[in-house]
Order: sequence, then C-alpha cells, then structure tokens
Amino acid sequence: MKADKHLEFEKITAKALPEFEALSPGHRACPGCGEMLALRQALKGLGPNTIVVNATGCIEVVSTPFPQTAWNIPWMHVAFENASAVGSGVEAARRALLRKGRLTDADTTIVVVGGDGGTSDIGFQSLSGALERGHNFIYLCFDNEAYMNTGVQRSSATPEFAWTTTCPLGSASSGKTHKKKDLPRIMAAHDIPYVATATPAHPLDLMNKVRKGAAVKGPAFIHIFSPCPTGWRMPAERSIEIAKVAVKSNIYPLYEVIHGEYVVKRNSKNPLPVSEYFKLQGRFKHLTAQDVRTIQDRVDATMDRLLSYARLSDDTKGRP
Amino acid sequence: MAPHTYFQGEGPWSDADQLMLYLDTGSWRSLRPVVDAEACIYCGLCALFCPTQCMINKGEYFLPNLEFCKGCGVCAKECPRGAIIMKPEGECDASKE
Repeated sequence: MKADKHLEFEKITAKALPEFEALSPGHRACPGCGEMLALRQALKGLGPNTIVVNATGCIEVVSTPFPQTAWNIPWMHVAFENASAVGSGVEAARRALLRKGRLTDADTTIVVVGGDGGTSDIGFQSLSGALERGHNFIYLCFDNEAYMNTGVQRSSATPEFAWTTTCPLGSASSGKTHKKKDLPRIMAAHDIPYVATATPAHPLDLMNKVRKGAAVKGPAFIHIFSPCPTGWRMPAERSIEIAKVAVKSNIYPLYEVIHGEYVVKRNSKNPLPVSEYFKLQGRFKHLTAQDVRTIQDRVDATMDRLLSYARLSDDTKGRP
Repeated sequence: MAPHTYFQGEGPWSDADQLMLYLDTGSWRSLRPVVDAEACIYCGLCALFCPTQCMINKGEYFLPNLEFCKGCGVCAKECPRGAIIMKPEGECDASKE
C-alpha cells in the first residue's frame, strides 16, 4: 500500500462506477468469455478518451468482422508482430502534433491490446523494444493461456501439463511439457514504471490498476488473467469462479511492480490447494497426484520468491 | 428494437455500415436468466460481471437484454442473493420480456 504514494491517480470506487462502455453488446465472443469481460472492465476504467491498437487475436476476431464493429472508441487492428510498434507510432505522432500545436488534448490514453500469443510469442520483440524506448502507453496482455481463436494451440503462456490441440493426451504425450513463461517478471525487468497482474473477478482492482497505468509517465504493462471456457474445457458460468480460485490458490498471484518495487496484495495466509483450481477444468483432468504435487511445490516456491521481492522492496525504502 | 439505438457513438475511424451492426447473439441462448426482482438487492455484480454487458439497470433491479444475452450463466453464478435462475428456453414464453 505504501508504494501507492508514488502514483497519483483518481481511484474508482464501487459506489461511483463509470457508466461508460467502450464495446457494444452483440459481439461474437463465446458465452462466458473472460477476455471480453476483462477488456470491457479495463476500458470502463479508462473512459472514452482512449485510442486502442489491437493485435490479432480473439478480441479482434470477435469484435470486428467487416462490416460490423463493436467498438465505440477509435480502434486499429494490426498484425501480431507489430502492435507495440504501431502503438509507439501513434504515441510519437500525437506527441509531434502536440508539439506543433495541432492537437491540444494531451490526456488521451493509448492502449495496446494483445493476447498471450501476440505478447509472449509473436509480438514479444516489438513490445520489448517499445518498453525500452519508453513510449507512454499501456499494454494490456489478455492471457487465456493458448491460441484460442485458431482452436486452442499451445503458446509459451500455456501452463505445464495443460491439454491443447497441439499437445494432446495419448500414449506419447500428456499435455504440455514446458513451463509457462513468466511474462510480468520479464516486463518488470525492463525497468518500466508500472507492471501489474489483474483478473476480471476483481473488477475494481483491475480498473484501478489500468488507471494507474494511464497515470504514470512512460510505459505500463498489465497482465490480465482471462478465463476461456471453450479452451479450458469448463462450463461457461465458471469463468469468474475460476479466476477467484486461481488467485486464492496462488496459481495467479495479484501484484504490482511500481518503479521497481514489488507490492503483493490479496495474498491469503491459507491458500487453497492447487488441486481446487485443476479440478474445475477439463484441460487438466488427466493430472496425476504426482503432477499436482510438482505444481504445488512450484507455486509455493514462486509465491515465496514474490513475497521476498516485496519484503526487499519494503526494506530498501528507508535507505537514504 | 431499432438497431440504431446501440450504435449512436460509432467510433470516428470506423467506416462500418451502421445498419449491419446488429447481431442477434440472443439466438445462441439455450438457458435464459430469470431475475427475481424482489430478491435483487441492486448490488450490480451481475452487470459488472456480464461478459456481454447486457444487464440493464432498471433503477431498483437489473434485467438482462435478451436481444444479446448468450445465456452463459455468469450472472446467476455470481449473484450473492441467488436472485437469478437459469431457465431452459423451451420452458419460457417466446416473448423477449
């Protein structure tokens, strides 16, 4: 909480939720889509003065089949590889127009939206470059842990042991054999002002994190856990529940990295066992007790490391 | 319903035809959320968690917009008072009220 003083921003409270909706109903997302829900909440937090640059992915496919569109704000679709580069360009162009006096409104937020494939695999180098150059935009990564719009193929953000169509179950394969890429930590290593993780099951937390990202000068990266009922093989009404369980079981810890300082919130002293998270989803139904123990140990170790970072940030604060 | 009502705020960069913007995702639904207006405490969680943003604020309770509701059941699952039940479409009357 103490690190909040570094960031001045207008907080959204439950009593004063914005009415604004950036997306019209009637888009083609699957029933119970956690990604479109998280996107809607994030843009609700940002308000209408926003420009969206959208990498290819589920969001683009479901919201804008020509000649239809669900977007009520300026929106641009670009390829997987260059969403961050285009976002950089939009930001640089706006800066140039402001300098020349042809634009006066300096408060527009530029948001780059990508899925986990578009962020951790294909768009990774342009994102890394944009963060290094320090462009003033927010990158929202909607992580549904596979390439969902093309039919559930594995990405580098797919967790270990998970079923996908490219790591199927059978005698030669039992789900993904590699670990999930820890994207927020990689982004924090770029030393950018703001990195956070969020879920649509904690909407106020998500909206306020996005607003903090908009308030900082320089790039912000927000990693959003986006339950996908279709790809995770679960009933549609579970998408909020699964996000809550993922946070409670420390599978997906919620934290922020503000100017290099780790702040861990909503950290439960008695986390749920990870098996609670796995048993809700069909993509993990083949897990053995040994697999679950392996993951439990890894999740505990990750959480300990995260808390030690947070303590370290706390300790160094008092130094001259 | 007039298809224009939803799309007054069309983004300036889009040249999509306004008349084509209406997609009847309500026809995907097999379960219909039925709100018990008496039990509703007007907390707004269903509206905040609806992935299709189709819950309409009626002042004292919320009602789903059945033109768009895909019947995912998130609202019924997350309602703290259990005021929403998912009823099979076959048992509902065909009207959209």
